[in-house]
Amino acid sequence: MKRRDFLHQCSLFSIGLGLSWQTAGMAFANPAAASAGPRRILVAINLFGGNDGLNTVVPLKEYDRYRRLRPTLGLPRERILTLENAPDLGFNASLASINDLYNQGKVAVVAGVGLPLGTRGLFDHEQSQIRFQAGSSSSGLVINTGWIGRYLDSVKEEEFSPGVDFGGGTLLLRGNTFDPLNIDRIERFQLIAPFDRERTSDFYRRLRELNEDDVVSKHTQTQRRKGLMQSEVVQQRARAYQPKAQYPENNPVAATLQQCAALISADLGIASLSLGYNGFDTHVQQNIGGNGRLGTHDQLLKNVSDAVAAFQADITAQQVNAEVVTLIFSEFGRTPRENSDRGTDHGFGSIMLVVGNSIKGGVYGEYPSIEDTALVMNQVAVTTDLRRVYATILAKHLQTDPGPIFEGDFPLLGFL
Amino acid sequence: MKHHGNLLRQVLALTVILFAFVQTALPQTPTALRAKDNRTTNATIDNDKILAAHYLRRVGFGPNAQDMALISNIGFEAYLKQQLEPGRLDDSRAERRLPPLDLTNRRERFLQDLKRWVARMAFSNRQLQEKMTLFFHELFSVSANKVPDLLMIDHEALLRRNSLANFRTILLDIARDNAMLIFLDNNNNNGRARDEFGNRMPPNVNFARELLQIYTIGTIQLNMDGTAILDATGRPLPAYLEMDVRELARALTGWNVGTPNRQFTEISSSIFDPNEHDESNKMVLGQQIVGRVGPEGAKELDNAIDIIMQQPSLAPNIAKQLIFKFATETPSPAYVERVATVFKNSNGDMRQTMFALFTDPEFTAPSTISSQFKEPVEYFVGLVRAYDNQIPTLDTLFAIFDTGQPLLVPESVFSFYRPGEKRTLLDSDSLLRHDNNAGALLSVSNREKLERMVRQKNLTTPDAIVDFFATQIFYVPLKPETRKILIEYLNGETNPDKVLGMLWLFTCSPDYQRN
Repeated sequence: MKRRDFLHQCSLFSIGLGLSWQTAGMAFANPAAASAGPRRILVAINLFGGNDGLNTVVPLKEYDRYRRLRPTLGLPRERILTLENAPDLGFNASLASINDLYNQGKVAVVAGVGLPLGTRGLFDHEQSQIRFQAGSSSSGLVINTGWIGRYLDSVKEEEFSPGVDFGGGTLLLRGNTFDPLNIDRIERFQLIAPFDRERTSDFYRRLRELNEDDVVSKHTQTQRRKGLMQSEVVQQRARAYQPKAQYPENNPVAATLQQCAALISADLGIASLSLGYNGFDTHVQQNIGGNGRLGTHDQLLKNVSDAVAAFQADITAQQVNAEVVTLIFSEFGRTPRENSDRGTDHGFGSIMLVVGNSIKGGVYGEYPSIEDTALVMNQVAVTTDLRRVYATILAKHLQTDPGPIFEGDFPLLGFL
Repeated sequence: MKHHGNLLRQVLALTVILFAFVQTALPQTPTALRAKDNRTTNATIDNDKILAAHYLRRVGFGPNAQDMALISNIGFEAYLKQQLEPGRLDDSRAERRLPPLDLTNRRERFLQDLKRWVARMAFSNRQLQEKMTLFFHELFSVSANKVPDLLMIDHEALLRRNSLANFRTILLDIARDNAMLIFLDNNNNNGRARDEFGNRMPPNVNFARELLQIYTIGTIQLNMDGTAILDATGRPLPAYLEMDVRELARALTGWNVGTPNRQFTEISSSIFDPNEHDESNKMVLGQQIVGRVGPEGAKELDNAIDIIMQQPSLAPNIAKQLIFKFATETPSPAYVERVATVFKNSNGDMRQTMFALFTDPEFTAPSTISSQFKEPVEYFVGLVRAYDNQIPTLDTLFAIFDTGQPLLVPESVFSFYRPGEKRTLLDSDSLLRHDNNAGALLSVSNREKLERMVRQKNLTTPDAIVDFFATQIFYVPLKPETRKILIEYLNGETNPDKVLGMLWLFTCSPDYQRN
């Protein structure tokens, strides 16, 4: 059965079809959360590739100019949802479920977010990812920690790792001393000893007690020990989870957010979770849809939006004693002008979205103009330093002084 | 960047645990045969063997009895020279073990191709060719998640064919490769496009950017020893500017993928269309590329590659990545400089470069031997090469995919891990899956053959069994503590399931993890 799925996968590549799969039925049920005061949890969703801010939140005020810059991939009016109380802007209609949350005052749109001009590697995926994850504009060659990781350095570890990474970027949750736990799928995060299972498991444990000081042994022994202990905690505790919202199918973000919900419901003392979604590097045919199919970028946004809405509903219904804020970010925006492949290339300023019951909904930061004179190097300007968003989350949600986490002071935004 | 939540792994997430569990209900013979005193056993490996096994782990995918004997007979340098001329090596025995590839079988052919590659890694005499193929696959990182399978099959063959060629040749072939044209959107990149208002539209810069950033010179200027060149304020200097990327992209306009036949079992080479080529002059990295008209426009690709080949950062950047992959992730600057100098002086000859890398004193320094993390391919193919006991290639392939190295389906241009960071392949989650998959592979191996081996070698005690496998199958000098645990596990028993359990524990030990 399992191997057949794998074979099927390979033949999907062979016949040139897209991917499709069913979310594994998760058989977890809900534990009674019991601890004093709501936990503060940050979920970070990293849109890998550089999300096109202009097609995420459209500048209706400069709509004609927008369409001139983007003759084929600019959204038609009927595909734009005008923002309540901010008629100059409109959500891509793919974000309908985010728009619903926005109308309930649970979404902050932060405009013109990016790194300062002159930062090294601005249009380069890797360097920009490093700096967005680190919350740093340093030109240094080596950046080893993420901004959430530096926060997690100060979080006391209970029975379980306070930071869990489902693929949100290797740096994001890594601190100076804190090392996040990686999980791919909860139900697979367990040791399955072969042969004489009990005895091999016992001796597997004994091997874990070996302490050798070479780099390879130190790292793999630490990781294997951690995997063994933490997988046992997860398997015991997260089984109780039952989703209390309908997660969309065939949606990888939803599948992972559901895993996040299972861990949050288990009340393990987690302070942050991160996950990633690939595919936003839309150089070619960014938005060619038709025949009832959405264009590539529209579909990506819809997946994020529907997944976040289901997660938000689930977490709220679970009644866990936790306040959860979800941050959606990407390493850069894209060129305002479309290229000859009906796509967009690496850009500059973009959009961040922050979602949660505690959010003061609205638009924050100045939405940059796309008039020629306002563009910087033919790119959308950055009006809001990304660290202002991060610092606001640290100060107001995670209740931590952002000062020591960043180089310099960054004025807070009003969304929390 | 490594992103866990990728499509393929999401799929695989549902699939693993191929365990044909053999829950053995063997009666435990209570401490019947206690482990003997260590001194009576032959637990050590002599230095020559340690060195030979080191060569085989780095040149290829680990030791087996045949190649250990070969190095012992002819010496490492002669072995290396053979490896550098793979075309002259008779590989017919391995060829016979390769699963068939039937391009008309559109459901199976991609899987067939993947199985063939893994079988080559495991059984081919051309070990360096296969490891270089992997190196270039990781450098270019073209993926079936965007590129049709037929083009991927051709692409893999291109990498293998060029695996020890001149770097310039490799770049030229890669730039015109159908798979790459699709992967980084240089296909049909029209240098003359105008929008409906008559404005000139910029060409797609995706390939031009990665050509500079990832494939050749990197983002910052390097000294020959691989260290960064710094300005007066201590900041690194960029190796290229945005303008260079845009200008280079213009020079590379006009290329299109070839034409497939009706059955989509064959596709012609890529085609240059002069009508899509930007004919104006370009300025790339301080040098002019004179705009060419008509079919001559194709030559601008050669001009661009020549400019890249002259960049001082190219040699140290490529040398560093080769050393990271094949030797050590913490080389001395002097080692990088020595290899980079050979690359530069030979104008990018991969044979001379690899010869320099493998014959350098630092390659056999104690700080290099056993200093690396085994990558998933090395971990599983290494197991199959050493313990060649009818483990099906499909299972091996599956294990490699499941633990973070989905061959020909990397998630992004950054491949499975960033150069120099093999460690990131091995986190607590992926290591559990390493161990689960190693158990699965051993479970499906041939028990009768194992039983015969134990009998023929007259391995009657736990000490003898552990030492035989450590020193004569895997060529790993076990730490005494590890050895003690494995011997105690056997608890005096020598039946196949017990031996397999011991082998599983061995693969989960730090001793096996070192490469």
